[in-house]
Amino acid sequence: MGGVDSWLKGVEGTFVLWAISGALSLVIAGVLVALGVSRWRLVRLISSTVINVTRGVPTSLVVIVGGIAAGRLALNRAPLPQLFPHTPAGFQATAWTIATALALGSSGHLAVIMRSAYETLGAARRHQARLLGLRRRQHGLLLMRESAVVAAAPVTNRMVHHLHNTAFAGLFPVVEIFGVTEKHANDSFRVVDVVLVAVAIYAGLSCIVWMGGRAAERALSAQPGRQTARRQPRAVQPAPTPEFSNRGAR
Amino acid sequence: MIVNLVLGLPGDRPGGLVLSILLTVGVTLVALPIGILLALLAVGAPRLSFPAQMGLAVARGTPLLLLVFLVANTGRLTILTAGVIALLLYSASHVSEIFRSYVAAYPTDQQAQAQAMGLGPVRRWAELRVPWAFCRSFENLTTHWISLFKDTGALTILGIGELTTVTRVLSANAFVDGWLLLLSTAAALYLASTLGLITVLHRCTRSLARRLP
Repeated sequence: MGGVDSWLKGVEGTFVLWAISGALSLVIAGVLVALGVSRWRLVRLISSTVINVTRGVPTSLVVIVGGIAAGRLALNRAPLPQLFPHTPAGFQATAWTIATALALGSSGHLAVIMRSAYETLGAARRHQARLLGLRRRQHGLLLMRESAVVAAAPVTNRMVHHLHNTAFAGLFPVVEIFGVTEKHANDSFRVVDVVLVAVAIYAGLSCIVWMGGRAAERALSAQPGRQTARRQPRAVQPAPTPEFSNRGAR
Repeated sequence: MIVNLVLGLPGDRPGGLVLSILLTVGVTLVALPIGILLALLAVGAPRLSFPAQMGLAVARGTPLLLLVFLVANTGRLTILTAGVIALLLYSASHVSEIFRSYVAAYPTDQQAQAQAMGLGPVRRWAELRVPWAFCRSFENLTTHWISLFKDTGALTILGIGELTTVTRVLSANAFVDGWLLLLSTAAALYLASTLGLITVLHRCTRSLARRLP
């Protein structure tokens, strides 16, 4: 069934692939959302077209395009940073193109989640935020923070799906869990045992992502005012004053 | 090229886009009643259906590629049968969870009204609760079906001749410049089919929504 070392290499490879492609997809999604609210119609059209294309084309095909492109365009000679652990130096560019493909595969979905979270705030709330007289950057950050609370749960679910999608990298010589599973199953013929280990690893990693997302949701939804009050020293209580009651007078 | 992408490679037809569509439709038609049945069991008899629910939860938490690999390597099945079973498991697990949440969310006042009207438990479920949950959950189910159509590409690991596999085979043999055109055509076919599917399902959703109170 393979040693613990090889599984750990797979987990490490999957984690790095997920983290890099996930971060990239969040950035692309953010850019797409920002372009989607542009005042120019052409820019909005470009944004919606990219979103529709990335949502309509399967991630498996995008990953295959990325993998083949790396080989055909001889990208493996390109001087790229070697961030993917245990993947041979000659296939680092393949790993980069696959990470980009995975990012593109999720970016459309994430952009829709972010856009709908922004729209959930409502026109009144957005107008209210504008009236606060904040600077453009502060105003943007405030609305981003408020929509992030709404978007946290669906983004977490998408990131779990994104984690599962990293298995497509196993179609190419990039070290991750699915590739390790395939290798061990072929070597030992104990397919069920090997796959059960892989399922347990994926379930564990999914749980970590879910817990991370939940923690982020809690942190985002915490009231800033309450935090400030907790940090400030308590005010000195005024000395009790004698109570005057007028009951007896009546 | 386009004929091979749509119909499949010569000697291996139906394949390509046609096979992807057939797999999606076939799996949906079988997985939908199974999913609904499992959802009803989960709400009606939670203890009885607990092992099945656990199994489906594991299936939902497993990447489809791994599920396909497991089914193909454990039984003495043809690759197409193994692929179909893996997709069935995947789809039924998602449909049951989506449907279960809507069956559980059935308003209690409507339940009480049906009881006051003197309807028996079977009629209450068959005529009111299940249709209500189906109409309400349809939009979520359509999202899953669109995802299922795109996920048929995972069967490429078994070499089943659907669109992704045909694209892989053709692009491996393509000339230096031909591969990008081939992959772009495949992507365009997926996109066009997905948009077509979205349009059809959107119309179904609207017509179902009109029936709701």
